[in-house]
Amino acid sequence: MIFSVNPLLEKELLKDPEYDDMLKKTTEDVKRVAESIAPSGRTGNYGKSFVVYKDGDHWVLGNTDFAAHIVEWGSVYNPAYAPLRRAVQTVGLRLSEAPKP
Amino acid sequence: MISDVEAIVTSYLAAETGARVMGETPADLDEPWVRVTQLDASNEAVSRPEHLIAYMLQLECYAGEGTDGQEQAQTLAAEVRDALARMEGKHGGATISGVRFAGMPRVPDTTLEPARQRFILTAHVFAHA
Repeated sequence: MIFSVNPLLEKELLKDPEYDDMLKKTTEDVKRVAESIAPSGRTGNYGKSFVVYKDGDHWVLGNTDFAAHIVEWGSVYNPAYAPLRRAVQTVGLRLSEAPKP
Repeated sequence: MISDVEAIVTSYLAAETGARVMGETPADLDEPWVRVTQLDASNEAVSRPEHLIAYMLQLECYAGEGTDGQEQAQTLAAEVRDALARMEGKHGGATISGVRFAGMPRVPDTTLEPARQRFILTAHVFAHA
């Protein structure tokens, strides 16, 4: 008997409802952690602006606050709080940042 | 207890690259610089407390003033990345046992006018006393 890797494994998994549920749940877990460690700021708007949505086959966690990029990466005037990167780590996932196209 | 790895990495990178590497924004923004920030430090699950620590560091590689900002920032980031990748070994009060990079996105700093080019390295540095 010979074992052969299914070349369509990833595509099949992405279409599996249970796998999709697992991805959604994991994304929501990261969202909960990110919300709990987000800096409060003056208005608290950032912490309330996390969103989870589906983009094609993938689940995405984002933040709609206009200053979200500054909260995550900082600036010359602001420290980096990195709630998204820290939340990914805290949940036990491996962080991998895709390069800017 | 492990020494201040953020400070150890900052000193090491300054010595290895000859660049301005620091833990805060410099007063002079004309020349390229690197700002090092410790985002997190967690106990590795397989280790006893306060022995093997995984440090998550953000290294922002800023361009200086000028029109070739992206190339400047990218070159600086490459030098910092190469130097950090060679850092395994004893440094001050810590032993660096491994370095892993999560990514290097280009995230211009839009709080400066005009926006300043910046490449951000997120590095995981594994250290023990």
